[in-house]
Amino acid sequence: MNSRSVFSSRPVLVAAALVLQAVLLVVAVAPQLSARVTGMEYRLAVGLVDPIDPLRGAYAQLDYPGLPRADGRSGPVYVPLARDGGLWKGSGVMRQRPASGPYIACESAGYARLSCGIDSLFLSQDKALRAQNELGGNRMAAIVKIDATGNAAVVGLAPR
Amino acid sequence: MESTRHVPARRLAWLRGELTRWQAEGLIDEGAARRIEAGYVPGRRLSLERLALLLGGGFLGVGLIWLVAANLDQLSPLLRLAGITVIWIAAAVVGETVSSRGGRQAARLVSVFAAGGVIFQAAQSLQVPAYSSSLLGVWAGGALAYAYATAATGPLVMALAIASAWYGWLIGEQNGGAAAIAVGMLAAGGVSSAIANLHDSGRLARFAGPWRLAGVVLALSGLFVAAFPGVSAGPAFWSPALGAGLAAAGIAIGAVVFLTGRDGRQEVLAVTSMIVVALLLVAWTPLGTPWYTGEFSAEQTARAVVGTLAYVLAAAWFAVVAARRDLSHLVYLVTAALVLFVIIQSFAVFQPLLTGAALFLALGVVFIGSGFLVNYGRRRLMEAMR
Repeated sequence: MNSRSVFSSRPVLVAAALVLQAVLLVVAVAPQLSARVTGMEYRLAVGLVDPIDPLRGAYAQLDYPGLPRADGRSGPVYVPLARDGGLWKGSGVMRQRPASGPYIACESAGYARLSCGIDSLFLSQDKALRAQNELGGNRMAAIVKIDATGNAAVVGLAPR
Repeated sequence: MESTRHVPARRLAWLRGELTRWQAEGLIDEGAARRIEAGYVPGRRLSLERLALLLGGGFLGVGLIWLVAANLDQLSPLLRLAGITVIWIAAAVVGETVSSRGGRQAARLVSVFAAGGVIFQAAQSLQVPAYSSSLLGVWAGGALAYAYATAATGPLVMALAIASAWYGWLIGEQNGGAAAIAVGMLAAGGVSSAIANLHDSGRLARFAGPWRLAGVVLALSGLFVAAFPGVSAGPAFWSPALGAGLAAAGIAIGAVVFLTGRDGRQEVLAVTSMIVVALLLVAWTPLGTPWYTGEFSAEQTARAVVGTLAYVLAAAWFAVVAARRDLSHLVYLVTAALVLFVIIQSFAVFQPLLTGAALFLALGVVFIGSGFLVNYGRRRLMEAMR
């Protein structure tokens, strides 16, 4: 019917666009995906706040008392983990990737909390309210999966 | 075999008038005039049915995203992700196969929204941290690819809106303040105007319209903010995101300068000058009391006047471009932007100098006067050339 190659026909182009969108999606969530699939579980002490993200529903913003604050310089940092009873906590902030041991790769803004990919936990509206009360009492620990390159993802909460 | 072309009713009336005039001047005979006129059919206006389909598509799409946000855990995350993915692909397929044009447009709209829903559902299920702009960027990129694959303007308009929101958010994340956002918006406007001009002479000429609209809105928004008193570049002004935006604008504008004709070059060079003016404005930090106290030093007043002039000239330029290309909706948009700007600026800045009404009167006189001058000059020029 037309002389254009099959690769520029409309269905193929649309399919290619859909595939591209899927690839972009995987790229966007790759760190959390990698942590969940290949990571090992660690428990970190956790506290909180509770705002609402307009595009994604209720979430609890998590604060980790065991992890260090930013030390003034911005950029990528690494937090090695050390045992602390039944939980783990961060032992300092490093600029180079540690050679061994569990560590989390974080982004430092130079001030306030480090951003480690584990800052929020999505919950339905009613669960968010209950979680807020329990987290506020400082009785909870976050179950975090961390993979070999420091990507971390929150998978749930548990009592300390 | 010729195909009949749909044209707006106003344009058809103009054509009929021209045909009558050409016949009177003896340029064409009656048979030719009839053949020419037969080739054009009045296009349908936006029919009620199409409006309903588009509105429905929009509501459906927003509803899907809201559903994702509701985070219903009666269904497992995997099930929810599978569900919205099925809706996304189904909408894309319907957008290509259904025979009614309105139905196709509505389906494509739903598909773009559903793609966003897939991204947000995946992020939610995997606990990707909230408030990251990267998800919007991924959505925008995907929507843009989809728009070009389907050669449809609906998805393009959505993609440009999402991309603008993403870029604005990204710059905001770098803590450069309002000044960085203003310059960033102008850089994005430069890229959009350049791409619009590149489209003008190509295969997808109808894509030029949305890109040009985006360029005008972004550039005027950026200048709006930059002209505001008190907006100046802080220490964190320069960021990789802003630098990349300006570089992209430079490359796109360079491409237009080399590849297109005089009109295209004029448009992008005008936007370039707007970017430069905005950079100068935010670099200019006059000493004096903060703007909201209402008392201004001479230097602050000077900056306010320069900022206002820059915005008014930019808006006037865009109005000229829109008039030249017969885009009346763009002319209305620019006029509305100008009115909004003057109202806000007069409340913020010029209360001691000129009240809002006096400013409008003065500007009106200036524009009418210059319009007469330009018209007079053009007629003298035409007479001299004959």
